[in-house]
Amino acid sequence: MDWRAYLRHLDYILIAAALGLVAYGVTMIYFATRHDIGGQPLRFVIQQLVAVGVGLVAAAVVSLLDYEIYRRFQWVMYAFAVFIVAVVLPFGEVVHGARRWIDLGFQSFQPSALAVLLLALSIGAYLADRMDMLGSKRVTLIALAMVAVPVFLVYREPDFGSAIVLVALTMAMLYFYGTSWTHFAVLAGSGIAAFVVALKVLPLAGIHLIQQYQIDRLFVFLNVGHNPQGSGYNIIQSMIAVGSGALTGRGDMATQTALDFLPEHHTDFIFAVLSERNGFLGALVLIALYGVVIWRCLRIATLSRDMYGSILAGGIGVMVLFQVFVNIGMTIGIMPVTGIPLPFLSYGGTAMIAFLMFVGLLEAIHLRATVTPSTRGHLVR
Amino acid sequence: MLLGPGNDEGRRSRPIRSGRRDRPIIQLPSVALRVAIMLGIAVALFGIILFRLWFLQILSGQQFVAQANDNRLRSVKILAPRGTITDRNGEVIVQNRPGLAVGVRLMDVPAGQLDGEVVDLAGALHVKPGKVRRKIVDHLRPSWPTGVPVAWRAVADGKVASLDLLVIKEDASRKVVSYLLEHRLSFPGVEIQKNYLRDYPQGDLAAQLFGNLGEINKDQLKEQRFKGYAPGDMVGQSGLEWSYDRWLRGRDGMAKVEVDAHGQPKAHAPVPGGRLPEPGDTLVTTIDAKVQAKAEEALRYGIHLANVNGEVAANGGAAVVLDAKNGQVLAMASNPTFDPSVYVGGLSVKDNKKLQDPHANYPLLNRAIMESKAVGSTFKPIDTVAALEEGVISAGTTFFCNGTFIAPNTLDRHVFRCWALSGHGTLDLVQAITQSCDVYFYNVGYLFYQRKGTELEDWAMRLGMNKPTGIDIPGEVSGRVPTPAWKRSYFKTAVDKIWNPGDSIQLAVGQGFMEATPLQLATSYAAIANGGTIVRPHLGLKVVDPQGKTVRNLEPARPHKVDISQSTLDTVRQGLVDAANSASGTSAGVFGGYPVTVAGKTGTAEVYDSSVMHNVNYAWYASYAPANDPKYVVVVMIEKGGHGGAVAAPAARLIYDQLFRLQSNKPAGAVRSD
Repeated sequence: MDWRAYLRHLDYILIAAALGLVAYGVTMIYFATRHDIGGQPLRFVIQQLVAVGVGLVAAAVVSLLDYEIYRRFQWVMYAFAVFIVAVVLPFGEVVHGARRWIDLGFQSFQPSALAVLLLALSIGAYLADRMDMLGSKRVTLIALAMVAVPVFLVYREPDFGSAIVLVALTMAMLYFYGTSWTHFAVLAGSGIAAFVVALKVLPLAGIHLIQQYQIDRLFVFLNVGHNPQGSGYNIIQSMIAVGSGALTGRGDMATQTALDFLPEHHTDFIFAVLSERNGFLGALVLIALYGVVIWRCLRIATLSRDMYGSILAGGIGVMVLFQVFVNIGMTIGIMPVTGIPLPFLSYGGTAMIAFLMFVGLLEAIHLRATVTPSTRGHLVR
Repeated sequence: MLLGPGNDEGRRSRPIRSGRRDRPIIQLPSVALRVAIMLGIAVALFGIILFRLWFLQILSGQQFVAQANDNRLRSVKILAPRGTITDRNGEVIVQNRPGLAVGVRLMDVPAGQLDGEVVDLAGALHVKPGKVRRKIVDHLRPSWPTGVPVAWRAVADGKVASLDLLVIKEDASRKVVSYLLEHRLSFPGVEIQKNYLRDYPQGDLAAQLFGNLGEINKDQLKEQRFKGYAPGDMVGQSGLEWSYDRWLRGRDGMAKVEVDAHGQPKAHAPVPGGRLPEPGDTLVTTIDAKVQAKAEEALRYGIHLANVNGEVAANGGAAVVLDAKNGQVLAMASNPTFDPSVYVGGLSVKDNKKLQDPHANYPLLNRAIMESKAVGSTFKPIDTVAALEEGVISAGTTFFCNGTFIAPNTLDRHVFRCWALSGHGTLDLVQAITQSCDVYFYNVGYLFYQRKGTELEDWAMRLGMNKPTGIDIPGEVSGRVPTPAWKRSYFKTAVDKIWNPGDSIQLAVGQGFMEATPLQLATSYAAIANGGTIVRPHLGLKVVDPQGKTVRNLEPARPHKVDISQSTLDTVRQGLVDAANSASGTSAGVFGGYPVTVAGKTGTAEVYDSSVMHNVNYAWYASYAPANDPKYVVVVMIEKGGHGGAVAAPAARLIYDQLFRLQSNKPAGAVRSD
């Protein structure tokens, strides 16, 4: 194997941005959690670093593998993804009233985070295999049906955030696959219609698909003052944290985090921790890093030697964009509270490993796209 | 194997990109176009985030810093000790003692735990849970913006919360406090607060004057006089505590404490920005504790005398001692009385029941100002002033008293009787006052009636009747001087609306519809004593700050003066001196030979008592002394006490004993008198 060619054709900008995000995130997890467990200021940091280590190894392996092989095992991966999100419902451990984790004995494992990776590979493969059927409604519908099964299971955990991430990922892959605009228009229209029916029409008939508190929670960001002690509390505290960071941050005076006013500070609201501590400038650095990651994703989508690579790279890029916007939007009060974590930043081992494997996958696509015919000969033994 | 062969040709060499199982296809999407669109979307979304961050952090940053500080810095109220209330000589009558209050801070009660906690707390405090709930809800009401009462459900669910410590029990026992502290983990949000409670070292002395403290209520918060007060503040609810609350309350201090989101204080150096409490000012009253005590003793003695005389129903009374020149109240006593300390820390149901029981004869009532009754013959000097000033009679005018009087030229031929059934014979004005001849004044009243005017009524009002005296404690009633106009508006039927000769005749002897409070009568007598000045009685003398500096003199605005001619004054005063001193005087049996010359008038007022459905006699004595240079006005009223000379005058003499530092035996009443 030609290690020199391998090393020469890695996308180092992507690696640097991703590692920068990981380092930034681990640092912020430290500041967010150092007082959480008395005498163990590094408890969460160490757990996260273990995940980072595992993730980096996994990413390296994925980058070495030719991603073509995932096409061969797409249905196995799909079945496995459905299996792990199904098995969490009866066997998962209950935390805060939700079954999202499986206790592996030494470590908790979040199936939905791994399912995102597996479904990206399998549904992307399904689409790439049907380039000849471009424009057919059947492909669009089957792709949506494929994701609908795990989405339903994840939603039942309940993990609303992961469910909509899966939907967003699938829509993004359909987009780069080339699904016709009319399909998107119809999907958007029927989505809005379904929402209105579930919200307005069915309740009149006495059917409550969505409970009132869920609606309240979804729209509370529009009027946080409505219930400052209840559903609005998290957003208000988060906005105070972000806002009080001002230009350069409060540093060790970051009391919203230190005194526990900020909820879920190392997971969903890690951006508020960062903004309070480092201010506008610190947030700018973070957003720039995400910008680089997304830029590299989209660039790899255009470079890819085949549609499978394009669909995957584009899908991953849009998914990261979606998660970043919804998560940050939530902490600054412009998006609803959905429980979507911040990629590479939020505490959570499985998600960290999955995202690092996405980076490995992007590198694999990049490698195989940039290796020229002449150098490829060297690359392959 | 690892870096598998993939497609054989490079991407650039093939016009069509395809996968392994790619078949030729007609049209391929332009990935570049879709990537470009997505880039545009990404830029837009990042722009939104950056714009919002700029708004939050750069434009509103300092605002949010303030909010973050609001979050972490909790202001803890440090209660200021309330000012003491002393008598004119500095003797403390109302002071403070330290106490412990139990309160709950709703913010610190974890969601969903309040319901259970209230039940536990009520158990620990030995009260019903409903009472604790009501207290919490009542506390919240004032700050609730919509004015809709807060539902307990909303509080229990955490939809409504409050940063403030809501005091549930004002004066908790040590036992309860230590129990709560021991089990503090089961009572999140419950706090023990040091506070000050009222203490009455003189027991029930002047109990009706000071009033009690209570938490400011919703309506009071809207009042002008309580502007700037906060919900939860303890304020005077009645009496002097109410009138002088602004001075007495001091200014609560504030300590800033850093707390975490769960309300747990963080042990750090003290946070700057606190404020020390400023103790309240001392209120020096015009009361003389010794005179007050004597006045209360005098009332008990008067009631005792009445009971001994066979007036077994006598069960209450009032006494007022005024400075004749400036209206300072040296004593204001009301019987029956009560122990004001029952209000400290909240009136118990049992105590409240006791105080409200009709058999207790309403001890809370300050009979000196809150109850007006017919004043009987003590009205005659007022009559005299009016008659002389209006020229109805002169000092030399005589009438013959044969014991009865029938108004001439009237249809009903009602017989008005003199208290001396066999009559007084021929009397001039001074003799009529001295002997309190009713027939003489029936004649005067009838003369006023014939003039068809309201001169008598006007004079009574001029001398302080029919309107509150303006004393500096709340609850004063205005009494009544009946006039033709009043009758017309008060009564329904045409017959009742007519002003009869009897109305003027009755008024002339302080009967009929005429009513006054003991304090009003005292101001009228003060005017006679001081030559026409209508004093405004007051209990507040001055406000002294904790350093001992007088910060405010509470002398009321300059009293107004009524013009009374010297000859009129001489005549009335002569009558009053003779009444108390000459052999035939109605109270000479009490004050004859007294070292200080007292000028005073007895009164035996017939008051309809609805509980026994017939008239009962209220005993009055209105007086001033020394007669030649009046310093004090003393008015005593004994409810259902019988004759003024028999019970009220002896009671008044006890008070004079104290005023002039005289030692004497307890005086017996005059045997037969008005």
